Formats: sequence, structure tokens, C-alpha cells
Amino acid sequence: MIKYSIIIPVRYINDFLKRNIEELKQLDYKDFEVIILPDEPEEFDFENDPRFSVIPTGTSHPAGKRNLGSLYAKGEILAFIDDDAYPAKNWLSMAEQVFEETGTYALGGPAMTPGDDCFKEKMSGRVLESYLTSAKFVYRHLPFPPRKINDFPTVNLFVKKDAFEKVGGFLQEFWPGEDTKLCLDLVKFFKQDFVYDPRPIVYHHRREMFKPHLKQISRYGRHRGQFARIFPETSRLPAFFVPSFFVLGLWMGPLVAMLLPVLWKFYFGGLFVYFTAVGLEATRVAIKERSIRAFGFVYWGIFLTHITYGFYFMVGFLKRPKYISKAVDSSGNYSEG
Amino acid sequence: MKKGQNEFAISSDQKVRIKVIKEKCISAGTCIVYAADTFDLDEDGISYVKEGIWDELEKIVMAAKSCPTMAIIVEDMDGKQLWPLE
Repeated sequence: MIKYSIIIPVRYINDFLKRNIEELKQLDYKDFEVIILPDEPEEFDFENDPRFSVIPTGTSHPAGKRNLGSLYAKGEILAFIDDDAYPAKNWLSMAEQVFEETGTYALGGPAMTPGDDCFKEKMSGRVLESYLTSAKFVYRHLPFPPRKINDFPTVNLFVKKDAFEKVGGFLQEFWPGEDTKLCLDLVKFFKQDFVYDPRPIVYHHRREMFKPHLKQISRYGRHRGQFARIFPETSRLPAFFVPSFFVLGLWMGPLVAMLLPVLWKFYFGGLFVYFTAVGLEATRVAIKERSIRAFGFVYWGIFLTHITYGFYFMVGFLKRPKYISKAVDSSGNYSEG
Repeated sequence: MKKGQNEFAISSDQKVRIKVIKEKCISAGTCIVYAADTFDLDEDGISYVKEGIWDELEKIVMAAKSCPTMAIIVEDMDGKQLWPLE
């Protein structure tokens, strides 16, 4: 039996995926297969490597493609990675070590910013890697000590195949956010959280700062808001609401302070603390990157990320649940991920 | 060049030596997660070996194993490579 089945949903074989394929061939652990699921049949030269297969799915959402991939999978463990990510050389050997050490049914690892991303993409990464943006979930973007988790994105998620089958795989009505629902189903079924470990690393290409980055953030916010409404178990956490309170406070603060002028000092005091914290973080990144430009990108990037996420979280939270959202962006790739 | 970068640094108890191949390091930082008393990142984000008392050998080897580019070499004082395995 093969140990790992790597499942990659994609609309068509794009340049990101070609890089991913090249890196998968370099893995130091060889007992795996790769199942690529594009919309249409595609010819691709895998250089006679029998571990790679292409299964056309027709137009389908990533959740459906991943479910289909799992049906073809011969591996003991399903490894989900996005087409626009690629693994570190020891990705599977490290995952293997964690599974042996912990016996967990599922495992998540960090999705870091690739070193060869362009400056604007790197700035998006720096914003996501900041505590001011990702709060306690910063371990999703950078290596942090191992911990128990109950939610993790499919950009770098391993699930034992029998566990995946026991919960019926991904619920296809949910996209984006099907990974949150899968994790919730797994945690409920096994009555315990699963493992995050920093060792199995993938590199995830970021969106460029500002517009593409903020578009992605708006989708994250909307989906998390919707999930906070319908799945309070893992998505109704105070940290997810903070940006929305910030947006409300920012716009409604002056109105309230006009009625109660004593509140002005709290309003401006709060803003001073906030922008000082953002400024310090932007300075830290600018020093690390040795770039004055980085200061501006990170400063405005964090602020606009908070505003965008906070606003769209409220939209998602207040709107009647509508599970399937727009599948592709203007480039023709999946708009999520 | 910081300690341990492209040349072996020896532990204070003279039991193990470590080298970080500077050109391979990509600042992933997993070494710090597992052996924070042994490794740190310099101003360029490149891993180096710290002064003082290091972590236990098990943690150091774990840190080296976790490096996604295998930039860390760990040897005992007889020159036997503990990681990467030869």
C-alpha cells in the first residue's frame, strides 16, 4: 500500500502547479502518489514518473475535486496541498515522523511565504505573518511549537484516509471553508483535536499587496463570518470578531463621542495605541527586510487588512448562509487559497 | 560570519559540534522552535549557533532534522555525522 496520496485540485495545469510538481519530484521520501484534478483532460510530461496521475473532473469546486481524488487514492494518508504551494524537500519525511510520534488522525503544517515571491507578494506574507493580523493563528504561516488544533486550511493538511472516509470527506456545499467543516467533522467524530507541527513545511505563494491581497482577505472574512454564525464550535471565537469591533469603533466612535464628548479622549487614545502598534510592527519588518518601502506596505497592509476582514466578517455573519461562492478570479484560478 | 555558520561550533561540554550551511538556510526558523538555546537567526535571518549552554543532543538533532533544506550538520566529536545521516 502506498503511504501518502497527495491530492491537488486545480482548474488547469498552471505555472504554479508546474513548480509544485518539480518540487514534489525532489522529495526525500519516495512512497507517495500525486493525483492532480483539473477541469479538463490535460497532457503533461511527468517524465514517465508513474507516481503522478491526472484525473479530469469537469467543472467542480475544490471540495468535490478533493473528494474525487480521495476515491482514487491508494495511500494510507491523504496529503492536501494547494496548486499554488509547493513542499519543502523533507515535507513527507517530517510528516511521517510526526504521525509516528503522535499517532494523530490529522496533521497541519505551516504554509510559509516562498523566498522567491516578488516584493509585493512578500509584503502580503509579512502582513499575514504578523501577530497583529493573524493573532494566535500566526502558526499557520510560520513554524511554531507543536500544539493541538481543531481547524486548519487544506494548503498543508494531512488526514488519514480511513478518518477522512469515516466523516464522509468534504461537504461539497461549502466552498470556500470546506476545510473548516471537514476539521469540525473530524474533531466531533474523534472527540479530540488533531496535531499542528512545524516540521512539514510548504511554501504558499501570496497575493500581491494591495488589491489582490485585500480581495483574498475579504473572502476569508466573509467565510469566517458565515461560519461564526453556523458553526460556533470552532469559528465563534473572540479573536475572529476583533477586526469587526475595530471597524465599528472606528466609524461609530465619533458619532457616540459627539453625544458624549468625554469619550473623545478614549477614541483618540485607542487610535494612538493602535497606530503605534502597527507602526512598531511595520518598523520591525522594514528593518528585517532592510527596506523603507516595506514600512509603508506593512503599515497600510495591516490597517487595510483589519478594515477589510472586519467589514466582510460582519457581512458574512449577518447574511443568510449561501454556501458556494464565486469559484474563480479574473486570472482563471481559484479565488480562494 | 556568526558562530557555526559554514564552520563547526563546538558545545561547551565538548560533546557535539554543529555547522549551519549559510547558503542553504532559508530562514524557516524551525531550528529555533526545537532548540532555542542552541540556534538563533542573525540580522539577515540566517541561522547561527549561540554561545553558552546548548539544548540536549536530542533537541539539537530534532532541530537539524526539521530544517527544510537540511542546512544543519550535527557531528559528535569523533566526526561521526549524527544528521544528516550519511
